[in-house]
Amino acid sequence: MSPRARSAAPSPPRPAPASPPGRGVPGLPRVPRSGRRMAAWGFPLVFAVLGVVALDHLGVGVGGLVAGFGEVVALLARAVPPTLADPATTFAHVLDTLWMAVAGTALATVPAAVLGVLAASRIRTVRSAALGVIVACRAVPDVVFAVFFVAAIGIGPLPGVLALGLHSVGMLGKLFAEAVEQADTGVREAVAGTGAGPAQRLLGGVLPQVAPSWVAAILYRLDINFRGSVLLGAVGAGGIGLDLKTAFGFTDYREATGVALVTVAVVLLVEGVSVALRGQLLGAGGARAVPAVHATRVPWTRGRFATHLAGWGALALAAVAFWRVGASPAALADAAAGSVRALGDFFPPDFAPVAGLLGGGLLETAAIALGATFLGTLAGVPLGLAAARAVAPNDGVRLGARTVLVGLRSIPDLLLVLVFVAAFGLMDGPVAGTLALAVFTAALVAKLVADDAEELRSGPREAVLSAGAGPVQELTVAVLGQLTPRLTAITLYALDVNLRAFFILGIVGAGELGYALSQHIRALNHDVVTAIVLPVFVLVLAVEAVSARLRSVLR
Amino acid sequence: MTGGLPVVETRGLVKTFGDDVHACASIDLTVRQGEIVALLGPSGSGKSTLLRHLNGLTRPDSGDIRVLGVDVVTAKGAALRALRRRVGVVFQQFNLVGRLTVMENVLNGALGRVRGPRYGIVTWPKSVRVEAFEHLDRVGLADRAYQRAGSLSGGQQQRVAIARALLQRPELVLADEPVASLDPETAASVMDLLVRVCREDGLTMVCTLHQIELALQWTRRVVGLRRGEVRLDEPTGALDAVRLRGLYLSDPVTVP
Repeated sequence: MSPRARSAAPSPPRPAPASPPGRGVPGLPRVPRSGRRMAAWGFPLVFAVLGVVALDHLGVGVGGLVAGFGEVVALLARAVPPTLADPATTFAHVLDTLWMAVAGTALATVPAAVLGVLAASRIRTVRSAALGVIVACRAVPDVVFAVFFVAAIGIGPLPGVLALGLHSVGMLGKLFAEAVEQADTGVREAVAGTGAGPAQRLLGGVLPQVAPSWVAAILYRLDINFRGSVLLGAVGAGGIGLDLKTAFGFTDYREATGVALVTVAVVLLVEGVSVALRGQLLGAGGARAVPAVHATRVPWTRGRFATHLAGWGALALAAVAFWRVGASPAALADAAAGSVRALGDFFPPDFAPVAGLLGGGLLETAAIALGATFLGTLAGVPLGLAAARAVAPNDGVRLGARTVLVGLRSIPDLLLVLVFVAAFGLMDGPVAGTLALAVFTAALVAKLVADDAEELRSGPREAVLSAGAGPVQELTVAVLGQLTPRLTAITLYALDVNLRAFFILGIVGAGELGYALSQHIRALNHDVVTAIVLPVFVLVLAVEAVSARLRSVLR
Repeated sequence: MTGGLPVVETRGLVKTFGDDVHACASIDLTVRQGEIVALLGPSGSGKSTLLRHLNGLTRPDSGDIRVLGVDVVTAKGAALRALRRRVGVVFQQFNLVGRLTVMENVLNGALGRVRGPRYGIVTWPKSVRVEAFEHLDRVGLADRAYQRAGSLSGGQQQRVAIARALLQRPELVLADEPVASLDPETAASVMDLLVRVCREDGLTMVCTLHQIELALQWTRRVVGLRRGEVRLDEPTGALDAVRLRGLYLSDPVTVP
């Protein structure tokens, strides 16, 4: 079994390349088949086929798309110039919505921190239990929580706050736990090595490391919760969401535009503040030496001052928010008692009134989600890549793409659905819903792709460029090559989000099942509401399971 | 140096990772009070694993380990924490919290003797803060006390880590490749600092190194490890670089 080198080796002679052990056959070894490769190729294929089939099922064609966007443009023409009948009330409602978001986020922080630490525990049972709670909170959409809390304690901001809070525990708990898991174990060992106890290890070795990412997660969630609280307005939590829904209900599109513009402006403001603060937090710290004049007195550097200001400011803000939404301890206790009572209304589910339409309705829901994800991903990936500094060919393209991205992102999902449903009419609800979600998905996918593309390691790109690659080669090999697993994860995440969006469609009555849901919510048939929500919920969990499996294969 | 009381005693220490990685294959080692010992050997020879056993960060598969009179193998909970308090550790990667100040990182060394969690400098008693400051002064970084630890150079960060270990008021110092991440000049000054404070305070030190020259220059006794076994254990004076290099030569190739 002598190693046979390729005989055409050019001079000067090189050492013969080693042949693979156990095989003397020269030439290229076959690429081994693996689950990973199957998934990497299979997923986009299956996804594209399903997307096209779903669009066909819903009756969304190219002609329809063009006509539909024509309708939307016609609607927008009737919506200018914007008016505000009562600016003072509108602004007061925006503020109400903002307080709701702050209170909901603050309410979620403490339980999420406890669960996050427990979910990163090394003790298996503790970890599983905490993860179970986190997953449950994440899986139930905030709108569903809101319907439940409205049934439990009546309409008002508090049920909205409780819904946002409970749902936020899911995301925050997960992000908190991930931060703890990623914390440098060396530091934890160093602190453990000093003989520190468990609480000391947590506060001395873990918390200082995770603090920036925890705060960033909270700010990010606040940003999301503001959009969410707009939506909750439409199910009885009050605030700006109710104004939007009312304006569309009265087909007063000019007023709707006015309210929408105010909402979008505040969304942009909240996001701007959130992004700026997160940038500050995660950026590098000051490297200036501080002369130690008084040996043990801590000097008031700018950083220390800013930290204290932000910390105490956040506490004060949360306190004001709790006061504004009426989240006193007594009210929270009442809410807990009311929730226990309300459980009896929601369970057991009553499938009888909806038995006939569940099958078709679920299929339609899945088709809407698939179609919207497919269209949205097609548009979102190029947009996201164009918006990333590391990929965009020049600053003009990048800034243009960024502007489109931020503009799309700032439109609350409820508003998109309302606009498209108003343009198409409720009869064409599924098509309207699909297109609205497609726009929403494009923005979401573009944002995630852009974020990931920004973080690409430059090493592989430099290596490819050094090898004489052109820009397209660089894109396919160095950019997409690194991004493929992320693209799959993003697509699956968008699908997941779009399945949940069923509940938003339901609020405006789009789609067969959504229309039934909105009717039964209005009629207080809570056991029927459960019967509609549960199957969709099972569908969402199934997608989540598939997604988790695929991601672990592609990792 | 045979007169001192034994500080570290291992008997038949065995540790295997997976099925076939014998990190420690029955190691017997005694280190007496005041000794400064280098554990020398190539990567994968088991020296770091051995060191991590001495304060219970790693548990052995079998064997006895006594450190400062405490049975490390069975110690857990409060007893283990009490032992760890008496053993200062210096890590190759410094293991500082980069975004905290130098002072806060040093203060973490006193966690074992205060009760309850701490967060922020002002939550520490003034006496501890003064002591921490003295140690920072001793390692030459008093003027950096309120600077972010992550903004210091590697050598400075390791000095902070040494100050943190000193604040434990340790009886034994374990140093795991303390200078492997540093350039030669900085490495020499950090080794000098480490050995000097140990001599001055009469501390026992066990230090893993992979550079022969550093071991010969700074320590009094060299224990050579290879494939999880002690292959050599002699006073530094009796050794030379040529003999030590034998530890690093590859074994005769044994292809199955």
